[in-house]
Amino acid sequence: MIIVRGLTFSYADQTPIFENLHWHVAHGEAWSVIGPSGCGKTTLLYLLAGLLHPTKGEVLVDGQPLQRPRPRTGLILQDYGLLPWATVAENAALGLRVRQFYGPDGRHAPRSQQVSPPAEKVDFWLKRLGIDRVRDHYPVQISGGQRQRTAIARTLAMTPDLLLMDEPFSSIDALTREELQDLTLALREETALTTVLVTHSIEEAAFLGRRILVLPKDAEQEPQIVENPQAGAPAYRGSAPFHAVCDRLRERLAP
Amino acid sequence: MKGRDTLTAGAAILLIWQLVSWLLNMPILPPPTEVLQAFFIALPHDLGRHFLVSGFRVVASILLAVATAWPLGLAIGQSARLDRLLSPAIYLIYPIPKIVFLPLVLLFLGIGNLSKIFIIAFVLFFQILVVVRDAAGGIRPELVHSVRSLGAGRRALFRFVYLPACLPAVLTALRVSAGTAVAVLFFAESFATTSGLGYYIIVETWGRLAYPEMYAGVVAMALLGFILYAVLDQLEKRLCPWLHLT
Repeated sequence: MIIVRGLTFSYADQTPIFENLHWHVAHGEAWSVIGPSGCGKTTLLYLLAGLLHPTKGEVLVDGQPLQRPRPRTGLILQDYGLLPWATVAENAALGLRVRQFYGPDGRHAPRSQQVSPPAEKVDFWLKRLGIDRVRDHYPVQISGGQRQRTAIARTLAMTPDLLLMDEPFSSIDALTREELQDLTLALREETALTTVLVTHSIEEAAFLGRRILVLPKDAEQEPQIVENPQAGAPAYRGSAPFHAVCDRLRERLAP
Repeated sequence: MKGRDTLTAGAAILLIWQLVSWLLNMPILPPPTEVLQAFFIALPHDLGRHFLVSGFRVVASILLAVATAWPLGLAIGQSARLDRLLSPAIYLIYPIPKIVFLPLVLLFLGIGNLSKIFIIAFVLFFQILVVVRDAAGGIRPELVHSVRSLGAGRRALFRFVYLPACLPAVLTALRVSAGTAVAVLFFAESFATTSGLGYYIIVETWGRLAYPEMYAGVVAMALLGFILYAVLDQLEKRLCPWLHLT
């Protein structure tokens, strides 16, 4: 699904954040990416989303080198991703409206997909995510959890095959966060998505990632991969293997 | 603001006016009763026509200013290069009172509607340009990234993000400068013309010491400003409901 080959990236004239990074994500895998702050987690995600471009090397998604955001990649950011002037339903329909705006040109929208009227699909996801009753509310009127559900609905309404998430639940209270993490597991079961989740939380990385990429502070060190095959069920949280993985992550992250 | 409160305030102003005019007892301050009488007598004759001419000029200027300043403000606000190129010039021109260019505008565009519309639009243009530029520049990069990730290119970003994001700024700028627009209109109409409320007040009534008629012109001008303000206020409430949530 994703092939990162010899990726080097630096912001204008600064020391590189990545140097010659290689990474491979297979179809249907569930990855977490974790690392100390400033290691370039978000930058990596933006590179995968096609919002930034490698200084050297290349990023291939579904066999294609990325030139621009890919129509079937969904991206969910920590916050501020919703239009403040649009209701929940309008926000959830935004991706489909953008597709309608261009038509199926293969560049901004998948060529294969019929551009169907947004209403039906949006209704389905609003109901599935339990935000149907706030559909006419504006983002400032709903909770942080509901806002993230709206962002998820907007992405899933576009039937993505790859979902990138950048600290999606970190500004949300603990209970709602667990709810949304469970929801993410359920949605992954239902949709067979490939997911890459960037997080600074060890517990979240261990709960949601079957494979965990641990980025080093220094671009010259090799990133490490921690396998976590048992992740994927709500009951995993709090089990002994879960804690063992958390401890391993903590060790690798310690300076 | 509630309609009833506005009415009460209007009644209070009329009452104070009546009192002062009664205490002063001079022809240069006629009581409101006399002025309103003159207003309704003059309205169907020439005052109504002057009102419509002035109204047309100010509305045309607003449309012209919005149509030019909004896109340019957006372009500058979202492009660092354009901002570097144009903002120093805007910074220099912005504080100049544009009304001082009126003689030149009259020379270049003549004494018809065009020169009046142009000078008002010129004043409004910078008011709108600056707030739209700042509103477009203040959009969170996260918002732009997330909409780009939905497949939006430059055109869709304009349509779905930049344009609506700047709408409240445009309406606020217009509301704040509605009074200025009418003031510039008054000045531009006060000479070298034969129509408009400015002409009616300065030449037709003040010039022949017809005080009640002159005040009727002032009332008409106030009404024009009030209607503009109220329409913009309502437009903002209709078009930007997310700003008025309780």
